[in-house]
Amino acid sequence: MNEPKKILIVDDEVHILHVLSLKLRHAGYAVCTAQDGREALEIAQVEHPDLLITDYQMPLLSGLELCQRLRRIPATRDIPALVLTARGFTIDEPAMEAAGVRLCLHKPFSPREVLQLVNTLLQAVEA
Amino acid sequence: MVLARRLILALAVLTALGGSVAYFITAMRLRGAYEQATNLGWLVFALMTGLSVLLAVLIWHSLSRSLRSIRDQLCHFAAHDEIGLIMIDEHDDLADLVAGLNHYLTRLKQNLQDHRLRQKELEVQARVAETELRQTQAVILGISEAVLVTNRFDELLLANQAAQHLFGFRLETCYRQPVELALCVPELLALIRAARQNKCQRLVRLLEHRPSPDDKPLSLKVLLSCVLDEQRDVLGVVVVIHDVTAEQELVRLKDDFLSSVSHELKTPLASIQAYAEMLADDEDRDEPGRRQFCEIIQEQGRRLHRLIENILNVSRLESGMVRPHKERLDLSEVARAVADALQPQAREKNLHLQLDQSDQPVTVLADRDMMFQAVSNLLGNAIKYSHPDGRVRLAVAARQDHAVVEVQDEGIGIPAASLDRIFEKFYRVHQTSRLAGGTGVGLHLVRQIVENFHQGRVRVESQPGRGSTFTLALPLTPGPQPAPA
Repeated sequence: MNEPKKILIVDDEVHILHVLSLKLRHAGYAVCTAQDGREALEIAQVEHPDLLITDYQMPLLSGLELCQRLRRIPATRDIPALVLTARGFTIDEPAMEAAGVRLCLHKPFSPREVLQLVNTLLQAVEA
Repeated sequence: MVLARRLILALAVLTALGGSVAYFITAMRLRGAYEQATNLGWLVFALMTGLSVLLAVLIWHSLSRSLRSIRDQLCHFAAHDEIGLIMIDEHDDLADLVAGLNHYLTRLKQNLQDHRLRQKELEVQARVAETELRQTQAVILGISEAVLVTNRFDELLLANQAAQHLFGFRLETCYRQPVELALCVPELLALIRAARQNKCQRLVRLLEHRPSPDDKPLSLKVLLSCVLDEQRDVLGVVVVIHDVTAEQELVRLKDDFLSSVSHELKTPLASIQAYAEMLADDEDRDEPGRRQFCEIIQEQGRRLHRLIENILNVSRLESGMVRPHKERLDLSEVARAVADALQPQAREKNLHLQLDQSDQPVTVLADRDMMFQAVSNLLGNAIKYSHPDGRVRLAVAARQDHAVVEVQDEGIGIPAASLDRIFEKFYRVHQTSRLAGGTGVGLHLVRQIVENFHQGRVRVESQPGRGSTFTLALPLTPGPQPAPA
């Protein structure tokens, strides 16, 4: 596998986008970013990322809604998703699973941990 | 008894006279004086008849006078509606009868007096009871909470104004009617029935009620209490209803507040931790690298600090723990400092931060930290609610005898319905709470600071979709210039 895996990161917080893109790019992944769900939908359909990392609480379209929308589009149905959330308790786990969310990470998060999870997820997909 | 005596006397006299005359006449007839005897006989006869008539008349006259006296006195009593004693001469023939009558009349009079007294007592009692009843009713009717009373047949006995207004019925039409006529709320009817059947002393429930389809739902706390008599049989149910909508809303606002505080605090914290970790892992190889990371960490730290200060200050100010430390200061300088502090946030959204100042210092007597906080909250909001690539304007000027600070944005604006409420603690416009994080205390704090601690005014003008302008005005302090900052 020479072509680097593509990862789409979606978050309304500029700093989170910056940190994660830096970390993942340095690890050898190709990264594209979006600041809200709508933008992310469009990019996903064009770029066909291998993985989606998204914030849960975003204006206009929440992370969960984004995943649900992607599931309905054939081209993007199988993209695994990793959700970052500051919410703590009130997460609808069954809905998340149904929408293809593999993992949930709580904020504040560790970029190291995100990288590890990304590696694990993408290796699992390959296998 | 005088009459009897007279009769007997008269009779005796007549008998004696008659006997004597009969004797004389017989004697004369025996002596042969028949003519003289006959003449004497007729004379005596005439005399005796005359005497009898006279006697009869006398007796009748006397009797009749007594009787008339009695009758007149009785008529007098009747005419004056009184009971008195009949007066009669003690030697009168009817004196005994009158005495008996008088005795009877005295008894009657006594009875009558007793009855009248009793009647007065009862009247007084009735009036007192009526007054107490009216007072109790007035109390119940006047209670601002809705109060209803039903009897053991679930009929409506009492309902005050508040209850009639809340459920939209008139007591006149529903009195002693099945309570369903007045209350069209199935849950409440079920509760009344349950309270009655189970003889509940105290049953408390929370109900949602919408007085009409257009109204907002009300949260009602309903207290039911079953009233029992001495034999523990149900007399009825008393229902008291408190409108707790406002309290519930406050609870909801506080819950929202806690969620947003949590989110607001975690966001800068996440950045700080993330960048610190990146530094530790040497991810800062690219330019601008290390320097940029450290600046971001510091700036997010300051942002976190401002947020915490905002939250803490709300309680501090309200609890009276804080005394403003007022000094002469130049508001332009404060505005500059705020603009510098929030510049990075503006840059994140590519907003142009325009600072308008006058060349003259704008001096006020104020607590510097508080002013910084107030202006910072206003500017922070302007940035937060602006669209990217827009403009935010911060202006300080002296107008007449006031120092005026204006913060203007071209962002999402505030709906007219919310304009009155945005300065309330915890209040956030519902639509925007999804759009941007916030705790709902910033503007409340601004108003506290400006109006309660600095005798100033804060005002807002806004057009949804076009932007908002917040203006705060403080009295100017004339006099020498403050020391340069």
